[in-house]
Amino acid sequence: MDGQEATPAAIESHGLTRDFRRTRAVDDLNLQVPKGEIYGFLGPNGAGKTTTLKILAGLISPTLGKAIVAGEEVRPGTSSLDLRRRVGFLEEEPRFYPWMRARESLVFVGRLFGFEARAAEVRADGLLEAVGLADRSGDKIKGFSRGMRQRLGIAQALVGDPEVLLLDEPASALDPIGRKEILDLIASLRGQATIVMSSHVLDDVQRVAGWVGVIRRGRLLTQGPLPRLLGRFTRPAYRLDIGGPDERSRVSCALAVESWCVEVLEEGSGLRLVVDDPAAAESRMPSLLAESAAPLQGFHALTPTLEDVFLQLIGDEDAHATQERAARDGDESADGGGG
Amino acid sequence: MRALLNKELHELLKTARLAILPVVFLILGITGPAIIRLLPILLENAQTGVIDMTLPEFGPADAFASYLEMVRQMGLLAVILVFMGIVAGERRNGMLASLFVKPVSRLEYVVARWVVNGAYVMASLFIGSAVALAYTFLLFAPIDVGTVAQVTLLYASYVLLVFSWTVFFSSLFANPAAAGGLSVTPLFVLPALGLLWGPLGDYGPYGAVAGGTAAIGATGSPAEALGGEPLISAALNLGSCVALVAGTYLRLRRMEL
Repeated sequence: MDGQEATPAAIESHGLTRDFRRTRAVDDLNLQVPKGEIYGFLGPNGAGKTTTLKILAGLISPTLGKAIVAGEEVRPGTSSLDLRRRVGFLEEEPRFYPWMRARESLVFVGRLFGFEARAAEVRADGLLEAVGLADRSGDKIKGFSRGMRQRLGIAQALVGDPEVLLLDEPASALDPIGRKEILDLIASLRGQATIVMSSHVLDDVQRVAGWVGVIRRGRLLTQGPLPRLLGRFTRPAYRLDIGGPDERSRVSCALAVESWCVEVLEEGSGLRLVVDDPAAAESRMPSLLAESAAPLQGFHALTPTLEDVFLQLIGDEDAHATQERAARDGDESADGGGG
Repeated sequence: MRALLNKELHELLKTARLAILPVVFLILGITGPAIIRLLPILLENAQTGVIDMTLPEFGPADAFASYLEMVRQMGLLAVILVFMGIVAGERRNGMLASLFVKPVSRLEYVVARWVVNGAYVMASLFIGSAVALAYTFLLFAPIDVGTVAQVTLLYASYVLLVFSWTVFFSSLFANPAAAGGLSVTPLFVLPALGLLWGPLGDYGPYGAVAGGTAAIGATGSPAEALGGEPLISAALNLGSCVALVAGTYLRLRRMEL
């Protein structure tokens, strides 16, 4: 399995599966989230991220398999108060009693966690300060913006000083400023708790996560430290800015026949060159460009991104599914022919 | 548990709900006796001379009974309307998930909601009865306070039962309107049970109400009218309330959010 590290796991799941009537929302999921990490849980809409987080938070039960979250076991049909004491959870759209004020709502949550009244107030004040809402502590929540509600939601999730913090799409619906604030806040929590942050926004995950898991159709496609995934699933790539379509075409043809060239794609006014042997590419390219006499305006080695990993994984999975379907169709027609 | 009880109390005090039921029951307490006081005048003015109607002379018992009848109809409907979303509404808007992801016992949640809101319903009923008693005294003549208190207690067992099944039905559906619809149905079914089988009418949920109404109108000693059957019915109502609280908890325990 990917990502087996020496660091102890804050979350482990084994064969975690959840069915909703005929739909399998989570399929044999084996997660491994190292303690103290920010784990980006990445997947397209409907991939099973929210269901997984709800199982880990104890809100819904798995159909099969088990998970161990902060040392507490999550099994089919179990719901433990101890688990909920150790885990903080932020829904995509956090809910509050609209008649409550910000500080009041945090004090209420503190009391639910068993704090004495005074201790709950001190905790609430500290958290309001941490999430930048100290000056709005006496305001009614119903007047809060989406970003403020999200920050208050994170504060609520932190009241019990959780070992594990589960954040479901914490920044997806926010404007760029709100998104930056939330991601900075999440990054500032590194080391305080193990954080699992689900998202379909690749940039968000890449900005804060040290580990990444990619899920699609309920199945974990891969997981591991982000640098390792970037290294494994992406190939070295370069961008060449070349003026004129004819010149671009000429260079493209010249590059394509090289043994180290994986693919050449036309991208706007330049070319994107993907290679499998960067040393060979870098030594050969100057002479090749000189031979083609193309006006080179720019040359950049591209930094691999999570988007590249994601697209590669999704592409591989689609290709695999197509192959399986073709094989199945082939078997069926062979059976039909034989019958 | 204390945190949840406090939250319920604050929610009651800080939202419009606080005023709704006391105002409804207060209005019923005023209009019940007032209608009986005005009825002869209204009918006299409406008579065309074609039918010669002789009305009985209405007394304080009729005035208070009129209030009780309004409680059975509009009062109970108001209780259902106010509480049909008590669980369903929170489930629908996501508040329940937000709460249950914290270390909150679902039993404590149900008990806290039932205790505080049940006390609020009871207080509203007693406000209505006190106002009806005062109005009966003002418009007619004094009525025995002890009898009124006993009858109100019998009614209270039934009102609490209606509140409890509303909470229970609210836990079955995500749609408050569905919970409300189902909660209204027994209001029509239960009074008819006595027609099917006498003991069901006497000892069933509606027996406390029927006994209370009979006691107010009794010409003899109200204590006789308030004999064993209504008391047994009231006790069974309270037992049913406990069963419904347990049912609500069991439903919530299995609920996935």
